[in-house]
Amino acid sequence: MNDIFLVDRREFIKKISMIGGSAAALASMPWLKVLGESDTKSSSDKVRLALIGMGDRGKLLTQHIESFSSLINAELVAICDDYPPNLKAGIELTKGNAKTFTDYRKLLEEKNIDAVIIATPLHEHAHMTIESLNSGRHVFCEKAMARTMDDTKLMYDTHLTTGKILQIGHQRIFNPIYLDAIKKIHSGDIGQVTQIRAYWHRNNDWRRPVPSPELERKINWRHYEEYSAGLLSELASHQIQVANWIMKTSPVSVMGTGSINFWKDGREVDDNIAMIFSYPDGTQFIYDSVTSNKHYGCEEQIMGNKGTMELEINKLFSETPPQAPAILQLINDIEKDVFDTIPIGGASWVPETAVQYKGNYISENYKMDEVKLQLEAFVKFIRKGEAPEMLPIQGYNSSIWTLLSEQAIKKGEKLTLPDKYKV
Amino acid sequence: MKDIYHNSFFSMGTRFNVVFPFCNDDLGEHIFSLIKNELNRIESKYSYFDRESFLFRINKSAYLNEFWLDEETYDLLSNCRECNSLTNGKFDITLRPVIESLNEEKSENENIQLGSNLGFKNIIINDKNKSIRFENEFVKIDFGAIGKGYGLHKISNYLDDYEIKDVFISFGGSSILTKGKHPNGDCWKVSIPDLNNQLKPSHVFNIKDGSLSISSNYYYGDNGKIRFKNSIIDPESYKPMEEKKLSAIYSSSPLEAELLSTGIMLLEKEEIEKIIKLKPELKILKINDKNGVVEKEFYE
Repeated sequence: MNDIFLVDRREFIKKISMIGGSAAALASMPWLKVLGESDTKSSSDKVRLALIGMGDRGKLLTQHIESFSSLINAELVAICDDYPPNLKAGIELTKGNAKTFTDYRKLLEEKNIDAVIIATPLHEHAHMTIESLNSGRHVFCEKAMARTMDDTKLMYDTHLTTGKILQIGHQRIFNPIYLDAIKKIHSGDIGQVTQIRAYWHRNNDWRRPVPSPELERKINWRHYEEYSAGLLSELASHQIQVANWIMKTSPVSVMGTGSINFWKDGREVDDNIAMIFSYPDGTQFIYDSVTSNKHYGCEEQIMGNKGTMELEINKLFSETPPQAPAILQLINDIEKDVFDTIPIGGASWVPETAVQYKGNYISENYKMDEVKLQLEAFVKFIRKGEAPEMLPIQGYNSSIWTLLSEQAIKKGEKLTLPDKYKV
Repeated sequence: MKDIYHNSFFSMGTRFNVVFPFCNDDLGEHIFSLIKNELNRIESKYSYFDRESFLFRINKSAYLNEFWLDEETYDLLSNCRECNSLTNGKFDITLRPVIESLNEEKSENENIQLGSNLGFKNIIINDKNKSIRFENEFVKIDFGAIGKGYGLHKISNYLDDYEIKDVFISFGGSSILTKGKHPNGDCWKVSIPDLNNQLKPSHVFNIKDGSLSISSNYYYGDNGKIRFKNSIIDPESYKPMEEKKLSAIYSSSPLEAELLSTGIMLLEKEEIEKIIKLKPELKILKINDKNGVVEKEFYE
């Protein structure tokens, strides 16, 4: 990666404001435009944020906000968690400057809050989001949206009826590499996308230490059906969002299977899953996730008739590797009726040594954190009072198809989405 | 648009390019897939590293037991033996262990000791029953120096079978197979760059129905800087050559061109003249850089 140059935020913002300005990009990533808009430093424009849920994700979001709050002219004014160690960590991270709560409803009674960030376990997302929206606050909710399809739909509908912003934490939407990749895919750089494969493989029990047995379900909530859909809601939802984004639509059907074949530790959710989503044009999206092998890691492979993109590693593999300069010149000469010498050997000529085709980089290696960018966009949307509707729709379709996948696995059937859930 | 079929893929650790003027895509694709299969077959069979390859089995077994060769491998080894004799031992397919030793940064004495056990003389080919035996456990065969030329030799037949009259194939930029001529000329003109200026041609070969094999002990990296290769070893000193050298051999046979190109780099003028007398159809270019002075020799 040595020859890939790094750019700072200012250059990045300049570039994406140009990307976001093109008609094609505007259609598939309309949320970019706001990042290119100038910052305000006026105290009257300061956005006051509250954060509910100070677990690992909440702590990360807090650190980000604290690190660049002055840059984006925002302030974390309140935090909430009903688990004392988490709340204590939140107080430390905010240096005691944020007001603390153990009940989110009390937090919502505060007057000086413009927006709420929700980073609690999945089963708590729906009621917290709906109550926040109904209290007149904009909401940034971590993915996936809710534990049930009905709750997911109700969250989305409440966003529509209240007119408040609802942004779901799919950070790849703001990842510079993904933004470049999607733009290139939609411009035809890899031809027609004919298959997507994605996987997320880990080799650990995904278990957090529990100080006392009665806290098991609270802390390891990802393992229990009442609170989570496991690998589907916590991992697959990210990659379903990417597939939908690439395909510019949602699937028409899903089938899948799963089991607990390794971590027989009392968990209720599958420790391995495999699914196939079909899109309207016949493209298949093949997905799997395991927790007992990490060799293949995490990847989204986008395959077109002209090339393959592997988004997590920022690589593009052309179906026709680039020609040697001499060959290109020869073809050019023949086409133009020129008879010239063929220069064998140039600066990149490596005779008799191993040269493997390792693909090309999709995008420059920006030193930009997509989580920060999505928070920055959220603050700017709040200031404008609106956000592109495609943003919550991306989150909604990802969540709803995640939960439909769960049903497909349980029923062992190929399922389509009931009309009442279509948006 | 003219009918020009061109395609490429990665084979034997380098890039294989074909250009077929006057060939439609359907026919081009068909021939290209045959070529690809054949090159993949050769690579699998004669890979030095692949534990499943036929060559790996030879290298593993031929010291302990006499190893019976198939017709193809016997012919290939016979060609290597002939070339070893023609180049007074300078072309040698047994020196890979020295390259590995150099890569492991072993001492000069260790390399000399290892090298003294190697050499074609330590390969015993029984022509009657077409078998092979190694004289000691250190001997290993490596077809790396001739793989591309052998591949071109084999695929040349497909082109004839399908009556593809005009062809330009570049295998890694160092092994060239042509048939017929450039559509706008009476041959294919291939230029060899100057040793010290890649943009300046040092020599132009006019090739018609012939092959060119180029060997050098250096290469230019993508950053334009020169780098020396450990892969070409002097079979007397068991050291890589320290001066920049390049040889280019024109022959009607891609295998013959490839077999000779490495050894020629190490031969003296009188030895090359002797080869030219025996094989008058050859054209040989040899360029040396001795302390910054470029010496160019051309034989035909």
